[in-house]
Amino acid sequence: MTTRARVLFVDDDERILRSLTLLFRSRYDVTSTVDAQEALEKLRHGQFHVLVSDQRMPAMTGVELLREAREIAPDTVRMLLTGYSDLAAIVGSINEGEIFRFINKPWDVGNLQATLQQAVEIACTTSAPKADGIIDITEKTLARLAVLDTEGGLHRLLLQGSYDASQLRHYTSVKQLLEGLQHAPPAVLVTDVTTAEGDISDLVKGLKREHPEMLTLVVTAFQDAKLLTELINEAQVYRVLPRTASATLLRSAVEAAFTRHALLQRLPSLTRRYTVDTPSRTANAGISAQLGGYLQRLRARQNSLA
Amino acid sequence: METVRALVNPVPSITPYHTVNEVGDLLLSDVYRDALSLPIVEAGKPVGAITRHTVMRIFLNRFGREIFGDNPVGKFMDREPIIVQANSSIETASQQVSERIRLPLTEDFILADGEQYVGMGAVLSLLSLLQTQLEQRSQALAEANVRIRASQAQLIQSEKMASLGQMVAGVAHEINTPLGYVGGNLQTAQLLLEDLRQGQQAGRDLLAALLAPATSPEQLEQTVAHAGTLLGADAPDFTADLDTLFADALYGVEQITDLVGNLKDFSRLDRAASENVDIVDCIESALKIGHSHLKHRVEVVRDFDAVRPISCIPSQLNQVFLNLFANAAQAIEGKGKLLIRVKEETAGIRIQIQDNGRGIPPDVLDRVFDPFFTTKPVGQGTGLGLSICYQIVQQHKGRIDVWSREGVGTRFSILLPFTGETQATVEQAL
Repeated sequence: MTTRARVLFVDDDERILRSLTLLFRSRYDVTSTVDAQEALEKLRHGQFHVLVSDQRMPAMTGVELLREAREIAPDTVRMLLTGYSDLAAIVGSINEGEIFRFINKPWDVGNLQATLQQAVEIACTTSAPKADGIIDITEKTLARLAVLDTEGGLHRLLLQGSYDASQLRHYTSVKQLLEGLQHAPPAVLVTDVTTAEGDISDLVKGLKREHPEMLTLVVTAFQDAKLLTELINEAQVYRVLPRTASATLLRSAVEAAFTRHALLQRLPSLTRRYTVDTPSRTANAGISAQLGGYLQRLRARQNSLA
Repeated sequence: METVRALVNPVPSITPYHTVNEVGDLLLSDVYRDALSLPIVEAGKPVGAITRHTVMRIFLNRFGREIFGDNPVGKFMDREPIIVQANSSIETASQQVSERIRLPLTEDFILADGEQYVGMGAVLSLLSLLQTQLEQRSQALAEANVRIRASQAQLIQSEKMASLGQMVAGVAHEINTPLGYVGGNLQTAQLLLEDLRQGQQAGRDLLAALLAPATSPEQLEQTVAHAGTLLGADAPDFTADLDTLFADALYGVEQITDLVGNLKDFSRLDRAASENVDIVDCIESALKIGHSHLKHRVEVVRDFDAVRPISCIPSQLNQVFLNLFANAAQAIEGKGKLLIRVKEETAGIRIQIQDNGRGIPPDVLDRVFDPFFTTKPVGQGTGLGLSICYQIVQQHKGRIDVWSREGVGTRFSILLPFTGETQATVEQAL
């Protein structure tokens, strides 16, 4: 190994930092600080592969730190390590921090080692360009927006956001969506995680695993911290919006997702940054079975093409 | 709705042209045996009534029957009898009748549909109908009261559970941080122990090689080299790391012990009243439990005098303090200050809890202690928090007041008398 990967830990409790340093300093070049401002300084002046931050700190929250880190050093893979699972922090870490993993304290050393290793590998092999803005959104990508929505509310909201109906594929059931996906996966999928068919988080997780370049926007009445954490670690959802989101808010999230998707098309290696964890549980057996069938058909088709 | 139609006694009416004598005879007949008055109807419309009382007065006059007996009854009738619509409610009818009726009871009332005569009604029947209805209503009210009490108790219980849940979640989060490094350090120590074990084994191998006469010089050189990499001057010294790992882990365990101890102190499951309670201890205990609400956001300024101990139920007062701290934390957006004062006054101990949060609008300030009053969205607050605080302070024979100004902050002031809590009242409070 030529140079060791650089990892930056930020936590207001120095004992946490000491514990992490002693665990990882044999593998990585570890830097740590109790001061979030100092962490940002370090990110400005040196390259780090991975940033792991606490959420509750005196001067700045972890989400605030990660948001700024995303601007300063987009290449650095971001993770949150926190003992508090408050909803605002989780949603912020998705929408503002675009984090790779959300890890709860107390952590398991083995899992943390594996996660950090994965993050380091991804950071070493991919590079995220600083500005998404260089990408033009073409009509073609616009045509690849899909919404899974039984009741029609989300579909209507997207139409209000001035997408015309021909640009938007509207699926009213998981079955319909999976049939549609078989032909051409959309660039962006807008869905809730609980629909008339129950909890469909298994589907959201499985689809991201299979189509890492497809960006997921979850519009939900977020209540469940555990589920949202899973949506980060196991589904790498791109944005989470409240059920009460306006058409404008939804539109700007969709636009951002299109831009990101176009970037992923141009630099396919970047999709590695959306690598997901193996799902920790099956939430809905029926949905899982449908997903299994879909993956089987997809494999069969891929084999026959090869 | 129940109407007075149920009371209708469809007795045949008489005309104004019946003679007094004829009416007298009718009054003696079985049909009108119970009637106090007879309805006088012309072309279906009631035009008057003649009471048994009037007829008797005529007959009681000397030669009354002889002089007036052949006169038409229309001459003596009451031209404005009580007429009640048959479809009116029992209340309306009662009100109408009671406005007109005079004692002693000498008349019945006429029931009509519009202008059409329907029958007669007796005041006493109306009264008994009214009574039945009142009984039904009061029973319904009693049942409703029981239901309200039950749901109130349920709400109080759910408020308690909600604040308990909040408290437990807060403390659980507080515990996660030390638990993080305690667990992490022990697992890391285990990994280092493996390295140490290898070093130890290398040392043993070296010793064995040195002591065994058959060891060849090459073998010995190899063993020395191996031991050298693991144990030599350049080899990492893990013992210092282990010292750090264990010292921090022990510190963390102490922290967790403290937190759990606080939780136990705070809840005092025995809920007993104690004498000699230092209010400052209660406040500190509530501050520790509420730490997660305040941490990094709210600066706590303590202005505590050394105060005489009082007799109280500490677990209940803890609940009051925690509730006020949590409210203050909620009222403060972003960063702020919480000033806590404890002073001794002649009447007792004065505790002031003041925040510089958003304040309470004047139009709701009077109602903050009212049960079920809340400004939070439905489902987010029972509106019982402060009302329970109020009750607890009342049970301690103290008083709680609030001062607030929008944009400036809110101050709760509690006075707990020295002689507040006697054993008897404590038992009542439980």
